[in-house]
Amino acid sequence: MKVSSLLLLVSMMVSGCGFVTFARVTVNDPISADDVAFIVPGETRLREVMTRLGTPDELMAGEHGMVASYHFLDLRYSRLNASWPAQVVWSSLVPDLIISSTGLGTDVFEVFYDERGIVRDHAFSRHVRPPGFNPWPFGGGKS
Amino acid sequence: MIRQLALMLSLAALTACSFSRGTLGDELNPTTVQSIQKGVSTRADVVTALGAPDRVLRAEGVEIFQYYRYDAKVGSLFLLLVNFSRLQIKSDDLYVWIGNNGVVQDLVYGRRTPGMKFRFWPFGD
Repeated sequence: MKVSSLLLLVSMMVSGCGFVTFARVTVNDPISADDVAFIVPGETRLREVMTRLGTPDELMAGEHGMVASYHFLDLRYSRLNASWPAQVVWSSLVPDLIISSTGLGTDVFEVFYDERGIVRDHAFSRHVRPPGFNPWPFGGGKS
Repeated sequence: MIRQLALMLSLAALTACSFSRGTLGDELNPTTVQSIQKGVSTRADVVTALGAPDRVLRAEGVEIFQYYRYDAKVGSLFLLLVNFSRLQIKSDDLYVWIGNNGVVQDLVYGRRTPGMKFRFWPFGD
């Protein structure tokens, strides 16, 4: 009983650091290719696009009409303190050994309108998908 | 005894949790937005009701006023072994088209923030 109480006490003393951390930041909801399948260049109007996709984050004046941009972002962060198990036993005598990695997925959906507010064209401009949660920062290097 | 032990373990595992929120811009009152009428309200009416726009765009002979508000909610759960945290950011945007005669031609109000809840679970959608 004394040992378990001591372990609990020590565990509570190192609380807040944690062994593994998963965090995520999202800006707006992602728009998929299926979501924009209804848009037909030369036919679909600005009002219909805004009704289906919501208001854009930005409207810009283009050379031949307006450009509407929908931004969305998905950032995933994971962190592992490899020395945490040792800290439970020896507390602050053991330094942190932290490995972490962050994956960023970002995209912008752009809709180009003509002078009458009819869609001329539309496209995803970046299409960078976020990697999964994995704190291991070494190796890879794929682009 | 088992119930007490389970409760004790749960409390020991849950070391902290936090809820934070940040906003940018004033919330647009839907009633005020509805008071702006196409073909009737003027530029001055819009500015009186909503204040100066956050952004003004000129395109095809019309002025477009944009009003926006950002809402960010963070939920964090700190356990003994694992920490979870999630930050969500969404915006409400109002666009008002004002013609050459200074009268409102059209307006679109999109609200993304009302359904946004505090979440700490980072996985899934």
